[in-house]
Amino acid sequence: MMKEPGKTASIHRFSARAVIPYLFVAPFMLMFLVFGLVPLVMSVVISFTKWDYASPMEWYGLGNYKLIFGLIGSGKVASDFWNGVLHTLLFVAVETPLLIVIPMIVALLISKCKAVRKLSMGFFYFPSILSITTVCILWNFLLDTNAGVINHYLGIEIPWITQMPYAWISIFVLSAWWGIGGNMILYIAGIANVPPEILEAAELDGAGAFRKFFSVTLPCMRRTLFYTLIMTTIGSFNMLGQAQVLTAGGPNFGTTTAMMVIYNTAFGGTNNFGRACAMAIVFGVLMSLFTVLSFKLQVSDEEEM
Amino acid sequence: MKRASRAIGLVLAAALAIACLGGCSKEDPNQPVDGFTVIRFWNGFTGTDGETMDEIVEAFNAEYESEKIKVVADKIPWDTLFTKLTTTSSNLRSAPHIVAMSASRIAGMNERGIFTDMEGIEEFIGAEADDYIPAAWEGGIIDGTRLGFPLDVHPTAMYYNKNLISEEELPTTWDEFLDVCIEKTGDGIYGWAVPSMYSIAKDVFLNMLYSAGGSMFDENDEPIFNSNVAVEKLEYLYDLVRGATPVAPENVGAGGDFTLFTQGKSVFYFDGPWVINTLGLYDDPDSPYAVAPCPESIGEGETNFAGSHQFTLMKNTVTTDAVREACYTFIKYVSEHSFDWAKAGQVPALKAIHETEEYQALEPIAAFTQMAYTATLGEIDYQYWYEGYNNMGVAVSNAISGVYSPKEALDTAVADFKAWVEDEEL
Amino acid sequence: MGAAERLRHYFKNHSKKQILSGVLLYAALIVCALVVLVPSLWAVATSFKFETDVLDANVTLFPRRVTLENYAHILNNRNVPILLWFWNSFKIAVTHVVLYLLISSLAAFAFSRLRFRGREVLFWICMSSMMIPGVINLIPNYIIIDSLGLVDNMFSMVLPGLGGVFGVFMLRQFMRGVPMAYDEAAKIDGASEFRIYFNVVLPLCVPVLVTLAIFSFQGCWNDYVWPLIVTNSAETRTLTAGLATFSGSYSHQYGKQMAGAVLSALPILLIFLLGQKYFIKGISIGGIKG
Repeated sequence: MMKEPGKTASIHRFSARAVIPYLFVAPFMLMFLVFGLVPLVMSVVISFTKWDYASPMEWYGLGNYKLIFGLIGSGKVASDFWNGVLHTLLFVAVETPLLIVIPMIVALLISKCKAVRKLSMGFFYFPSILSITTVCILWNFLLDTNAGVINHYLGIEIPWITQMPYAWISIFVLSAWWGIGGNMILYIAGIANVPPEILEAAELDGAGAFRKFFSVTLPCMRRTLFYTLIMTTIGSFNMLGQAQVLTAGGPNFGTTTAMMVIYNTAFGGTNNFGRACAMAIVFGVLMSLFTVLSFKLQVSDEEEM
Repeated sequence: MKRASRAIGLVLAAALAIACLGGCSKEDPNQPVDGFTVIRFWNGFTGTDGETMDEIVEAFNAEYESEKIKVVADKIPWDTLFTKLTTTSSNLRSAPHIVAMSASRIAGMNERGIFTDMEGIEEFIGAEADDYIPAAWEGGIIDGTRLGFPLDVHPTAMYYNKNLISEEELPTTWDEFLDVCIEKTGDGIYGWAVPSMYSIAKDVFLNMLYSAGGSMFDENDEPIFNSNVAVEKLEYLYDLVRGATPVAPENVGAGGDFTLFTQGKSVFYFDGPWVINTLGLYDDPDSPYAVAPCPESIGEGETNFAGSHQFTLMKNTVTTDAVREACYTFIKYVSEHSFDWAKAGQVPALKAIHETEEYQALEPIAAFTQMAYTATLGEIDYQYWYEGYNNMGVAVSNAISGVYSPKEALDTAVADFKAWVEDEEL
Repeated sequence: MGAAERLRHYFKNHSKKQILSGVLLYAALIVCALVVLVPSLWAVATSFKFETDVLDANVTLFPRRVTLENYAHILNNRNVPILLWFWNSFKIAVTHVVLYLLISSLAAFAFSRLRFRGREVLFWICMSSMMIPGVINLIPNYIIIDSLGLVDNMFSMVLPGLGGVFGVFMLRQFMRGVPMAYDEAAKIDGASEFRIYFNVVLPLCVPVLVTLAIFSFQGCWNDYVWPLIVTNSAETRTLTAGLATFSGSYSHQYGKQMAGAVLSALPILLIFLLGQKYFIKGISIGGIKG
């Protein structure tokens, strides 16, 4: 479809060969179109309607958006949603650095301790293979105030799940425990790819371990880092299971995240799917802002090199 | 750039065309399969009750093979069931005919027009109001229309540890309950570990509220769960945990009340009848646990709050008389064969079951059965009842975990609920 | 070489400072590993305990009495066709992973190494879709799957995930690290784009492909909401979805819940252990030097 008849190949440098790149992306793009883009377009359309799946769709214009920004109604929808957004931002701000730094430290340790590398990788990865529901059931049991294992062994009585700020601390710890594995693997692969010559050269120049890490290893891993940063951030923005199952969004909605608000709006008692779509889009725009910023940083970074 | 966008456009159009083509071929949901009328039955019974329901369905299919009726039961956890129900209600190939659900969800779901009136079912089954537990019978009638047919009732009763309290000492009023708890508390033993999350405490609260003559909503569907009597009852619960003589530890989380109870550290534990199986009470005569009705919940002039499972029929799929009759046949069968349902940990709605000898031999269910007769389901024909109930639950949690005082907690919840309804009705 | 001899060898060939830092490193690793390991161990140990011991007031990490009762209970439950569910999950996850790796790597190859019009625009459209919370796609995706007539079909669980962008993004990030000099050398030898993709770039990406395979296998295996929505019968369900329909039987029964969790985690663990040796090696196996 890219070839235009009547024009010679010498004028247009693209000929049959020009189609090739499109062939490479075609299978993915088809899937993306059907299961990524079409649903997205549908969500945008639905966000301008009132719809509970079963009744006929009702055009609602900007009504859902006005509700979200508190321009109409009692302001309850707006305060719930922005309360959730605020909690999500808190989670992103705390959890993303944790999930970047801790796996990096673990990956470095594992890369150095070659004798137990495989075994320890398995240990660190194990939590990640459990589903979030299992993880929450397990930690709910461990963290119980009166009968929980952690309080029992430490001889304390901390209300890990039912009181602030412990509920958040529990969610942070649980999420870090659950999430170390994935990024750790990527970092180990990244560290393995650092050319040994450069490290040796740095060593000859008298660079210490920290110096070598910051001036050689880290720069060599910048693409991996960029990937994990973006994916961890998006993952943190999407946090749902931990708050849903472990704390049920409590105490007093203190751990209710934006995703939980969206989920409950769409699938809770009344199925306000139009409103949920509008929320998802507003939330998506916020998320994009951050990601675009990261991309810009990456681009300028590469131009320098 | 232009070409790229043209290419995208083309593919998009193609994909949509494929999607539409697929969508155009609607099948008749009630096409007999191998001569059988196939009835799809969805339920969220994922516990022992689910295994029992499967057995009942199997027995039904065996018995009605000659009449060419086949029921296909599908178990889906409740949350997912409601999501799936709304997504598939217009999809005739996979939509169910019968759905079992909590009576408290019927009015809300009915706003979406997914149910069909179960007209004639009472005549078909030969059922009369007197044959069924009143709350369950009434629970299926929403604004004068029978949308649900009762399967069971599940009140919240009082489990106790026989090693810590004798049957004679059991309290019958809430004042006595408090006295007993104060007396028993000490040396690492608590009266009742009132949980502050996912809380059964909210059902106990409703038990107290309804038996004191209060309610969640008034006759105009105005939320009144911050009335004086409600505040008084929540203060009672609050005092159990945070009063001058607490009989419960603070900050009991989800499942923490059960753990303390089974560790022998709390005398009482409140929950529904399904816990009979979790504790193994049917199989183990030497069990240290037993169950009794909640204080002030049975007998003349008393009432209590309970839930009820009901069968509902879907409008989109139950379109022919033959299918409707097959559905009624199945509902009748389950209703009449619900003795096993009691063993699965629910109180069957059909009174006749309770009079059988084998049922009376099931000791642990007796407390629940007694309570079921005096139970109320609340003002569940109000479409937002379920949301109100959840808001009330937050208030109970907030009070018990000390976020707000009982009055503040209830006032906040009522205000939140009113604001929510205002937005909903825009 | 025996362990003792190896240690002696190690001490002989390293300075005191090196030995000290080595010991410290191992100590740090052990401390970290213990912190992570204890909850995992708890989960596994609980699955081998009697229910009464799990809730006993005197908690212990290791079971006082070991029992297979919890596993037996799940495996013998006639309502839990666990082998069938295992097979369904396996079939779906493997098909998904193979297709996902194939189409993602093809696309990532084009996005990272071929020049074509609209490349950036397409990539950006893809990336932007990651910004919309996935739960919102649940309903539209159901409508699409339904209109394709795939409800209750294994492909309803294989296909939607294939539109996921994270694989393309991940592979693209790594492929950009492979020097273009390789492609150019191959091109001079007359290799087609597909040959370069298949014979040059793909072998260099084995570690990241394995990593992606593990991630997507795991995502597919652990998902249960979507499979429950697109299946109507127990026969077509996956293990995770199927076990969810029995979770209520095991409420308050931690031993059985953990046994179920361990059973469903085993295949992922196996895949991880199988793949481990590939991603540990790094891209250097291809002989790339800076």
